[in-house]
Amino acid sequence: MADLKTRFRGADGIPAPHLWADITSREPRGVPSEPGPARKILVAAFAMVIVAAAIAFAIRAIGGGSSRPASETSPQPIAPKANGLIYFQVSGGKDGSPTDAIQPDGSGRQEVFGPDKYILHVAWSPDGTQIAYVGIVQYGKDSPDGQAHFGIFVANADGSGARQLTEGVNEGWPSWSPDGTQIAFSSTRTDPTVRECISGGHASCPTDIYVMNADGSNITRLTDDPAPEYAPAWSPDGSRIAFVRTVGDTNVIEVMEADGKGVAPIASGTIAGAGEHPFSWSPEGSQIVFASRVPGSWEMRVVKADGTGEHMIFTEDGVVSTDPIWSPDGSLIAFSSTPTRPDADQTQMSAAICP
Amino acid sequence: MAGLEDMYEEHGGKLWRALFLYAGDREITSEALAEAFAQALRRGDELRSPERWVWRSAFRIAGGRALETTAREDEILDTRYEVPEETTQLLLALPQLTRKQRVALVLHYFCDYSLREVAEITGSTPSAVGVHLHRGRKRLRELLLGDDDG
Repeated sequence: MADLKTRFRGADGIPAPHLWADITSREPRGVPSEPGPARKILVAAFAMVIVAAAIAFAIRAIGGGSSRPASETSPQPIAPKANGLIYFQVSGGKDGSPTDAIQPDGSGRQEVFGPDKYILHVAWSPDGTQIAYVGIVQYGKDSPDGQAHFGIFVANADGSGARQLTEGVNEGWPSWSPDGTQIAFSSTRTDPTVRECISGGHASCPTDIYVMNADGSNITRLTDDPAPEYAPAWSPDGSRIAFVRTVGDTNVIEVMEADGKGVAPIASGTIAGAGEHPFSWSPEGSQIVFASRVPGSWEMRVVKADGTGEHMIFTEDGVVSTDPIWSPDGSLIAFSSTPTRPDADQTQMSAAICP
Repeated sequence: MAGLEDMYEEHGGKLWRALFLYAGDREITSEALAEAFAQALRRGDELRSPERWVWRSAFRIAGGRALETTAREDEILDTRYEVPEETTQLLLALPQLTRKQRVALVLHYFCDYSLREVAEITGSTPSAVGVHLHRGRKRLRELLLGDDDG
């Protein structure tokens, strides 16, 4: 895929009309003004009220939806449990990209983090009491190297009590181990010459997979390869980690032992690798769901964890469906759905019945 | 006036294309550019940095008009004879981004403005521009990957 700079440069070929005669003959009408200070303050106060209400709502729903006490962790495979709130990022709004929560049936949508809170790659802890996410540590204007620095953070499920675990220019995709003691993530942290890049599906952003204790200690590198590896996800029994590797224009879902050995491919092709969740394990660990481009459309596909039996479960013409997440009880798959026509509605959340 | 006319001859075409990338509509683009320059002419020496003022005003005018309408797909597709296919894909994808993401991407990638300069033009902060750029790139990546042939 051509890089963004090249694509934008191509617009230099668009002929522009000569308007100087119109400029000198027209009667100016005026420039729209920015909202005044009073309006900005009012909007901010209203946003805070909404966030506070959403947090309270989220705590009740998470507590009611979990089948296990919040303090209990399990080294065993996670049994299917009740479906709870789905967190997702809204990227089509006029004022930014807030993080919202919604019930699996589409009801009760609430904003959890406002548009000014930089959040990416939200991952629930196995017991549903915490989230890990990518947040901003230092803006480019404040950092010595002029680049924004990001970090893996852990917070309570309502966003309170945030703790920074890591820092780097390309930190991404935290994933909890099933027993909640470790977090895998992707990063370019061992090569300080790598600048901020488009992590995920971009061959020039050479991220590797790392794992650390859930308190941020004992960071260990699992992959060491010039190709980008990212979006790690633990298998439900904790024995393996699946991830995406980008080779040229191809994204490959691979799986390795939890110690980084025995890497083997599961599925490859035009897999959507750049989203929040390129793929998702089924709750019992036997299958993986992912989105893939096929001639003429996009398909949601399922493959067995040993790489066999790949098949399509859902497709829709004129729509890009990505970011699948398997529900905890295995009955549903949530995904994002984006019409390709520019005048269509923005991205929508959808849910499909799992086969 | 001679200074503004020289500025128009030197930068008018680039500004028009940048506004078209942002608004996706020829009428809005031409109106915003002409209005911004006409306002600058009326203000004369009152403007300390006419170039920056014109760019900022033009994007604000285009942003206000663009709120009332949607990008013209037919006009975007009309450009496909003048630009590479990969740029047509970009033009079709841009309207699906937020206005703030679009203006940050256009000024940074098409016009080579730094984050600080983008912030000055848009009346924002470099850090906020950085966030819009990051999210806009991510969104574009998703959309453009969707336009690639399998």
